[in-house]
Amino acid sequence: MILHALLLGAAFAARAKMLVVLENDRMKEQYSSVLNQLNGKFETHYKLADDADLHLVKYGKNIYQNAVIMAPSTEQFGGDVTTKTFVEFTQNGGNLMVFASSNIGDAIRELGAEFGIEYDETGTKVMSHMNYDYERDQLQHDHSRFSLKASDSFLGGSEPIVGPPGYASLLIDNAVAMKIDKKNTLAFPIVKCNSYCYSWFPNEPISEYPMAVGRDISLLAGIQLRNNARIVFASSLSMFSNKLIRQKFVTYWDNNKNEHARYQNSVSKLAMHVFAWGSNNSGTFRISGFQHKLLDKENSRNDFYYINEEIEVVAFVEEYVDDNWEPTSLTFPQLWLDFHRLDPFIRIPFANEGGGKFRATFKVPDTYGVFNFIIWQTKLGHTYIEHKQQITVRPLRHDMYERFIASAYPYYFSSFSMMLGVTLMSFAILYHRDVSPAKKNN
Amino acid sequence: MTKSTTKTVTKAAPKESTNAASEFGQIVSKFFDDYQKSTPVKLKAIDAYLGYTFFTGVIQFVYCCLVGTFPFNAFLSGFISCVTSFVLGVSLRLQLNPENKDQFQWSDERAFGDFLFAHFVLHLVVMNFIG
Repeated sequence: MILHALLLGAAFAARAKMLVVLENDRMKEQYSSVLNQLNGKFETHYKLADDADLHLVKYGKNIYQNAVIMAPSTEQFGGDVTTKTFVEFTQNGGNLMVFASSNIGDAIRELGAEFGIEYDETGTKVMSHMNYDYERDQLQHDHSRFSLKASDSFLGGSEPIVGPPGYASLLIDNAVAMKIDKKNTLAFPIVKCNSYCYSWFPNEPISEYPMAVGRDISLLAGIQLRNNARIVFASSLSMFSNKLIRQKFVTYWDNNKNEHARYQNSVSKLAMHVFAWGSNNSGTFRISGFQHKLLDKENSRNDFYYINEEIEVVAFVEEYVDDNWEPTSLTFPQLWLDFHRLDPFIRIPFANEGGGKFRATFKVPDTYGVFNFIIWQTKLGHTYIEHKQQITVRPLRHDMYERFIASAYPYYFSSFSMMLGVTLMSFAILYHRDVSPAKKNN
Repeated sequence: MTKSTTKTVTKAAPKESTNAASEFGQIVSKFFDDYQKSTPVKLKAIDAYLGYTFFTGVIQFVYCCLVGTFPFNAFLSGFISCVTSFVLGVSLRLQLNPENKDQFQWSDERAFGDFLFAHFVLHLVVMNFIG
């Protein structure tokens, strides 16, 4: 298991390859702010969505480690890429980031459906009549560009995904509503809309209940598959465009104060952190070492244990930071240790000693058998950490018990008294002399 | 024996419930009287030993029920020691009883010898099993 983790590390050693699929060539400049961030960290390859030479998986292996699909209106991908290709890509451990927008195409819609993300119809937009961008409203009255206050929305609640707190607000523009299927337990919202949002065709009267309303609308959704592949679905591509990401403030009409007010736009911070998470640059951990031994210093043994012995377990956890595996910091949250034999007999948290070292001590339960040490952590935004190691727990040897058991003294006493009794009785029988008949008659 | 018959005749008149109770009492006291008079001293010694063995066994069993079976081997060996001593004592009493003399072809000494041998084996096993 550690070998597997180290091999994973080897895969990370060189700069990871990333495929960026664009709709048209102009997007390279329009989204340069975000793309330059990626260019710096990865070996990026740019392709158009309908490029005949588009490949993700070749001979069953991923060509790239990460794929960013910035082509929302694609009806069909070029080359040999279909929805199944994307699924195979993620099954092989590749990370995916998919952007949609109001003019979403069938290919992206199907891709979302494959992972439990439902998109609203093409042409619909997420609109909010609270905090809509006042300046743009002068040109287009559809209120599809609005600011989402960070305290109103739900930022996934996880530091590896969205970074430290300190978001002012997010400028959302031209987003299509996303709904996460409840059956997909691995998917979670990173940014949810506030209660004032709804999704419908702009500038048209609403004739039926929209697909998603209020807090049901996810604007950014994340999935971490069981093989630790990460997928990010974004409902708006244009909010990451140079024009909007560089817009520092969003002006809106404050109804309570009856005046203009403005929020600061923190989308650049969101982009930085979410892209880092989505490409395994944040919240990626592995167990790099594991040892266990008897706590007794004189005769330390670790190939098997007896029941009721004190054991010490030490684990080392590393984090993937800037192309290197480094020991985790003191802020690494709970790492659990299970002592497991069909059921966890012991489940205790490790104590973080700093430098990526985690220590736990416990007493082996009063049950013998074949146990597994399981070190695990399933925290939102972290890779699933699990490491198992088997150990035997033997019952006490016959000479490891106390020589005379206190609660058995009555039995000891009674056995000896039986022997004494039979001796006395046999003496009584053997040496008893009947009184002579002559004496009796008198 | 005429004394007892006159006793029963005069008592025919009163109620039946007191009759039954006092009859039972009479039977028990008669039993004890006969026992005192007619059993040889040897057999009484064995009976005393049997009583002792029985109560030791009962006490052990009650103790085990209260405390639990933790050193089960110790409980078994102690209890079996009592039970087997009781059984061997009963068989010795049977063989030594003059009233049963025609049932056994061997002498009293042979019976006693068997008794001792069996006890030797019993205590050997008990000492090994008690841990």
